[in-house]
Amino acid sequence: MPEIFELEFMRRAFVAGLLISIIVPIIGTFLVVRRYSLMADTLAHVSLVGVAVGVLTKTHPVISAVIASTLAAVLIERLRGLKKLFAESILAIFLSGSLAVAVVIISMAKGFNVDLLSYLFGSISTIDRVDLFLLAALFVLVLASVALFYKEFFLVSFDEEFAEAGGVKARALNLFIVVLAAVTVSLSMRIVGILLIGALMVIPVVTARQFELSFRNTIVFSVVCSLVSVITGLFLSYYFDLASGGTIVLVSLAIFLASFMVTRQE
Amino acid sequence: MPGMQPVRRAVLFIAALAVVSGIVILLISFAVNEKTPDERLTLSASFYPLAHFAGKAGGENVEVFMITPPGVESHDFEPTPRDVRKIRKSAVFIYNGAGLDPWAERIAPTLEQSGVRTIEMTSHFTLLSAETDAPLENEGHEEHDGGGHDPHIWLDPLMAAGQVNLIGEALGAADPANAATYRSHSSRYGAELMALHEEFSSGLQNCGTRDMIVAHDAFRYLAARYGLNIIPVVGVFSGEEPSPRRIAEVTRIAKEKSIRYIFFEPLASRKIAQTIARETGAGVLELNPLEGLTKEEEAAGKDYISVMRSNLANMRKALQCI
Repeated sequence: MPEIFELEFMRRAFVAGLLISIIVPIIGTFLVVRRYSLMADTLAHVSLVGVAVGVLTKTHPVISAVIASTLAAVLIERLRGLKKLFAESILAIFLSGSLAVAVVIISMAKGFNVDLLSYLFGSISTIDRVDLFLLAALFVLVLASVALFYKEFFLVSFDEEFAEAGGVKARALNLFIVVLAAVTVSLSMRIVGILLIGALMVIPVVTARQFELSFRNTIVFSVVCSLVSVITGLFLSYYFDLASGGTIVLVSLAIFLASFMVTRQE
Repeated sequence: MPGMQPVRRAVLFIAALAVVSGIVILLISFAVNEKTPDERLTLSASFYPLAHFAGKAGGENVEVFMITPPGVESHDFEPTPRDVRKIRKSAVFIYNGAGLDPWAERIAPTLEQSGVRTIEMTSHFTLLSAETDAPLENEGHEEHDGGGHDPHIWLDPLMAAGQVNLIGEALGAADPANAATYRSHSSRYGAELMALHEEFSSGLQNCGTRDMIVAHDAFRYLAARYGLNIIPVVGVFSGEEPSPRRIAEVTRIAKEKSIRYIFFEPLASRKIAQTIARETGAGVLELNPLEGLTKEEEAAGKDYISVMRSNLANMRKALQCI
């Protein structure tokens, strides 16, 4: 067995990494095509509020992060539905607002040990069994719902009004996609960290979109890109003692650059 | 690749990607290998004082890994996967506990399962609460959270001697053939620590004041031992930023008690001590909580005892001892 798999937590990190790298770009594709890339980052920042609450109340921070980001996702979609504010402004408010809330809660928890950096930039040695079970459940949920509602998701992502006219319950579906995104983001933060999860959700999708493939193939392509990024990134970070989240994102950026060169010549 | 079908081009790209990353992965997993470990007993320690004590107790027979690198506070540190592997390969792992090295508390249970002899230092001593001065009952291994206790036990020379003793015993248990050597090493260093204790108690006997202002509340075991009164700017955990209100309060106390020197720590910023010193016209002096030595300090030949001695000299200056 290679040295890297001797440690139990590295095996856990690999399993978690593989699950994440398959579902994150699937969700990401639906967000990117509707110009909602910032959503991932916003939900990640809201997750930090959940982490802070979890640390303060001494419960499982990942579970409270899932709850916080899901609530925020619902709120954001509600506000967007009112059409009173630009979608982008709503995201900006949630992104910075939640950071403010998180910092205040963390300052209230003084005297307690907040290993905040491990949440901000990911820490694969902290993945526990609960995290893995949650991720596995989410993995099944995301794959099943995309398989069942593929056509509806597709329609809603490209043309909400057209989909609505065609009898698709656009608002409910939107909400569903965003909630899936929220849960995915919170569960992925152990691997790549709150500040970098947005990158993993967006970069492989943008890479895939340059090849002008069908929607279905774009998803497949972006999943392959993110799998390669996560696996190569984990290997590089282990053997060269680098931060895992950052290394994974850098590999995915390198793949993006390569794809940009390859597709540019037309 | 102009004119090529999008799908074909994408498949080619993916194939190239797979080949390149496959080669990279194979190359690094075979090329990057660790130094072959030598025959000595290996011990990992979470941070400087423990690594130093272990080096003293183990002597030539033990190879000591200090996990938190020089100049880094162990509370802010996060081990890399390779660090964890190194710890797992060692015979003994010692860490402080009580929230000083949260990463070590997290990995300790798995280490024990894989056969590493693990010592949590704070579980062997009666700890002070992080909130009040009342000593708490020793709760041992049940206390994993560490929020409530003061972890800075190595700053009391007598408790340090106790730790050296514990390390010597653990080494003897891991390597019975050399148990006698470890015992004599640790009792020799224990005697040096006892001498340090004598220096502290006589040096701090006749002082103009017993009040001292420190940047963070790390010196309570020391203060309890020698009957000093510590006024900390921030609490037990050094990561906190003091509120402006707290700085104002400490400034007022410094003026009231006409304190001449404010202590700062080398690894943390000295700005807060300087702010208070400017307000009150006091000077600043260094008081090293020894959570780690910088590379420069190590190169200059400093170690636990010499740093504690310069701490004592600065304390005597600040407290006007004769």
